[in-house]
Amino acid sequence: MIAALLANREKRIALAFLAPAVLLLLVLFVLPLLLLLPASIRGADGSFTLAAYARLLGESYYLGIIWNSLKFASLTTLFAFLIGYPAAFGLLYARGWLRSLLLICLFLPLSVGVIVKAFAWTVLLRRDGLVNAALQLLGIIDEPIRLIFTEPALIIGAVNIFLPFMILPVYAVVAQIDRRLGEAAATLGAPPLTAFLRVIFPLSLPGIIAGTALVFALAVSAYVVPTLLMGERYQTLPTLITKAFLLARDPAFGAVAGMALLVIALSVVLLSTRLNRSAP
Amino acid sequence: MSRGIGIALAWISILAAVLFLVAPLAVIVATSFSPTPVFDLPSGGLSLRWYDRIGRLDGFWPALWLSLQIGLLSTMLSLVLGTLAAIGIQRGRLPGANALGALLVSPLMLPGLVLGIALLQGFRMVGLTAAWPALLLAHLLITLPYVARTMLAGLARFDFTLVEAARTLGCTFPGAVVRVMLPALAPSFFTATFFAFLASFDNYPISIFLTDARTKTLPIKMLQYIEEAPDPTLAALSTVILAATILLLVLGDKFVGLNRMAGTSD
Amino acid sequence: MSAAPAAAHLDIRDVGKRFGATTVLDGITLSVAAGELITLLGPSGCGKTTLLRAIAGLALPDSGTVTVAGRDITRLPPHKRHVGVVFQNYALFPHLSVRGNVAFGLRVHGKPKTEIDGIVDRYLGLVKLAHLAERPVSALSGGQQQRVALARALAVEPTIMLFDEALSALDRKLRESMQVELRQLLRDIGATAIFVTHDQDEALTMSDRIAVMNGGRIEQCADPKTVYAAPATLFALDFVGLSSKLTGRVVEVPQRGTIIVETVAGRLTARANFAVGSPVVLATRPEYLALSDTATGENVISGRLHTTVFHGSRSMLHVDIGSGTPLAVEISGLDAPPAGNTIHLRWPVETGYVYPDPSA
Repeated sequence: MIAALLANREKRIALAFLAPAVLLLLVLFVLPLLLLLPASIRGADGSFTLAAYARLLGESYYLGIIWNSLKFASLTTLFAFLIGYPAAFGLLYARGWLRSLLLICLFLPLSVGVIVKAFAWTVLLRRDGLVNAALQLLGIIDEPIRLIFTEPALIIGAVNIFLPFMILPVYAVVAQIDRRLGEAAATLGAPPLTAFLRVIFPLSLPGIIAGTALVFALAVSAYVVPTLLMGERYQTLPTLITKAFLLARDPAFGAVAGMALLVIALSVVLLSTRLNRSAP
Repeated sequence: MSRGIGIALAWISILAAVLFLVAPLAVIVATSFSPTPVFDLPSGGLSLRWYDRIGRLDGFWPALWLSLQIGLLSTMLSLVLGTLAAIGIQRGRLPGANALGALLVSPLMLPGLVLGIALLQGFRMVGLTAAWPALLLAHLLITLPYVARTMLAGLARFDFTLVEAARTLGCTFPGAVVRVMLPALAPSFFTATFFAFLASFDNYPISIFLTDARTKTLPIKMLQYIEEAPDPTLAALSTVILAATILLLVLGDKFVGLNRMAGTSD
Repeated sequence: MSAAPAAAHLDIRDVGKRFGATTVLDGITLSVAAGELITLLGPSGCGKTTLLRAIAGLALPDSGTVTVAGRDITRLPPHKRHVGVVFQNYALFPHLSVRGNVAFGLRVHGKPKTEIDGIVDRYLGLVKLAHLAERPVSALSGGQQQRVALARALAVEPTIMLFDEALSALDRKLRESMQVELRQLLRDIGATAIFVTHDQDEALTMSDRIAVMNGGRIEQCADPKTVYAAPATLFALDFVGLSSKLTGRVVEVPQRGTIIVETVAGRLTARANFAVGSPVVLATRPEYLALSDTATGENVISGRLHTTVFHGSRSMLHVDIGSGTPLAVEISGLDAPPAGNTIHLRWPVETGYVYPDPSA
């Protein structure tokens, strides 16, 4: 096949253009990831062992960590969807300078580091922070409550950081939907809610799938957010991996946890491409 | 009736979302001007003392310099590699071009930490222990997907007869590329550079495995400052980064249009 | 017009081109005189665009030569050819203004800045766009973009102008007025021009000669009237204008140059040289068929009128002349008999065409 490609001048040039980037990815991306697999089944003496897998999947402590990761990512994705989906339509309704302003407000947090934002939430959520002050002012609570290092705080911070990754893909798709489709549905006798559920919602599915997959994949592999907002005691797969490599010096176990995280992220990506292919 | 509710819900959601998104940034800016070290919102007066202290943070300048070097170099290399690859995919009509496009973008979707440990292990195997080259190579992996994604989208819209038109008007082929193709693709280059550089400049999960005691990127240093002794100096530093980003975004809106940036960057 | 490009004559000899297993150009030979307007007309895939690209230098032919003003340019890169091209979608540079687009070629050729402005203004005036010079091209309508593309190509004073479906993106009214205007303009400056189109009206309106192309070959190259009134091949007949056709077999050759053909509608006389027994297609234009009062007489055929389509000044009759064979007849507007009637038609002898039957 390669020989046939090389016979054509245009295809030869295309291959030459592609070669550096593809080689780089093979050497720096595909190969190292593949090499994680043997590392995860090699014992301290270099022999084959599944001990690390047995540990990760057999001990309730580690299963709890996996559960933590999945729960955290699912909740983050759910709340990001609940806010982000209608918000994408709001962005669509906005015109002119207002849309520019709203887009700037979406881009700005995207372009500010995760560390900075997570740090801001540690300030906001402190006992004497703005959130407590606001809740007291509104009369919801009498005394300042502990927010930081609680799961709600973690979810708030994570939704805040990943929300743009839900809004923008959905917006990119719904902006392409012909507005007349909704009107056409109305002329066919569909009440607005029916028109939305039967026409607009199905057409926006590719955006929903892309946004959901992106937010879930980002959340499940988030390290900085849980570290800063939940502290040391709360463990997810990413914090486990980091500890295994940088503190416990147990790369085999870290590689196993890495494989688990990789499997989760890959399933999300593959599932989303599969779903997108069957979407209308 | 229910249509009105739907539209109201959309408006409320976007406004709430934007407020929610901007809130932590506002807090950062506000505390950076605080006169006291306890993250009070400035009530008494404003102070620039924390800005003065940014430069005196332990190891700040080397970390900033390293992050700038790695970010700019990896972005520039990725611009070349990613643009060439995108041209190859869009113009070559090769079998499997779509799969190659997916490969180019895929590092974006996989957990950075896993890439980090995979690279750490891989670099150890081949005996690459120096932090600087390891970081540069790793950051190519961070920046290339952003460039590839933006350039694939940009080239899909680019009309290659423009190059032919330039050639019939007297340009050599390289001349036509320089005079027509590069300027026409300038918005895509800007968008790609913006997101690729920021992704590199902000990266923590991959860099953390590849640094050594003396070679630390800015995000790693910043997390260290926060964990060791959080004070409003961090807020001041973040405000400076924020201001620089706003400047770039304003330029981007003038130059590219934010709507287009939103479209090509997901 | 003082800004006449140095119009040159063009010679294409035996130009061939293959893409993989398909022959796109099959030994094309064509000569275009200086100042002549010629159209390459044909369906998509007939090779007309490839031929245009070979002249522009955007595609290299596998064989043959392209000569401009006596100079062989077959292997010359496009930027050394001085050939102006107006592309189908205009290919205006989106990052430049109208002025920037027209000045592009002049800048590339290193003309001094002081001269460029004057030349650009002159050509923008020529296409009546002087008032839009500073606009971005994206702010222009399709017709205006077309004019910018024309001015841009003309400004470098090319020896030959090429138009690749240059009018096909415009709507019908605008296209028709541009056809007239463009022809006049090219005449005024005395340009040698080649149009590529699949639109027969455009070909008939614009050109001095039409080259009808099919399957990588030129089927006929002649002035528009000849192509219409004396199509050289069945393909040329079908592609330009409407036709009425009957298949049959030569049964008699009463004298040299005259044949009698047996068809479903009876025996018809035609002017052609074919041996007795040859399968042939008899054809004519619908308007050359005339209604006859009687069923008798030389070359009169009869049939049942199926439908009539009224076009105002003309009416098109669809006649079933037996065993389901349809025949189109065009008559002057209001004279159509009622549908279902049996009508008689006189098949013309002098303007009837005979071709070998490709299906036999």
